[in-house]
Amino acid sequence: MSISMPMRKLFSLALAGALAWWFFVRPRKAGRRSATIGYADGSSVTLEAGSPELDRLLQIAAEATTA
Amino acid sequence: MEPNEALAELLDLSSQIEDVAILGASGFVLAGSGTPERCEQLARIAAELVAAAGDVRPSGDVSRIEIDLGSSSVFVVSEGGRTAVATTVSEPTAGLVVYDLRTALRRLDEEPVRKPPRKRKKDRVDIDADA
Repeated sequence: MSISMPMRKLFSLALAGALAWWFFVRPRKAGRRSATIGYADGSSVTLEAGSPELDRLLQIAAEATTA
Repeated sequence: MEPNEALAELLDLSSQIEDVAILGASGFVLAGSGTPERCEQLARIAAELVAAAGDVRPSGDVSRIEIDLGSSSVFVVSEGGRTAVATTVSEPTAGLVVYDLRTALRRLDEEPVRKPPRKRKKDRVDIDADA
């Protein structure tokens, strides 16, 4: 069974996209660390990389995963 | 509902939660998915996280903490004086995990469903005998 030229191009393009996502987007997403604190009044605060409060929370939370 | 029942229901419901402990008002473990030592560890971590989160906004009453560690996440949810602390798989659906934990805490306040008492067979026999 032969695959037509346009189909082959489309398949190659999809494969290239998947590989690019795997190598570039996925590691960045996996390495992202953040914390969100919600309050009883409905408000919330998201701490991003670089905030000292985030480092403290990450340090405590990391203990939970080292069972 | 009993804490163990709420915990079992929660674990049935959520495939994203790996470890969970349900804590009472003063932080003691009501139920947990792991060993007693693991549950105590989660209880201590929850207390430390709530204290650290309280420092971010001292005037605020912390009801939810979500921490994305990259390879996994940690959630602490408080409701009605009780707290649930859980670790999850990588990149969980945060809103769903919080909803499931909150639902489990709310279920603790529900009265257990009791069946109406059945008439004893012996009594029926006595009634028949009188007739």
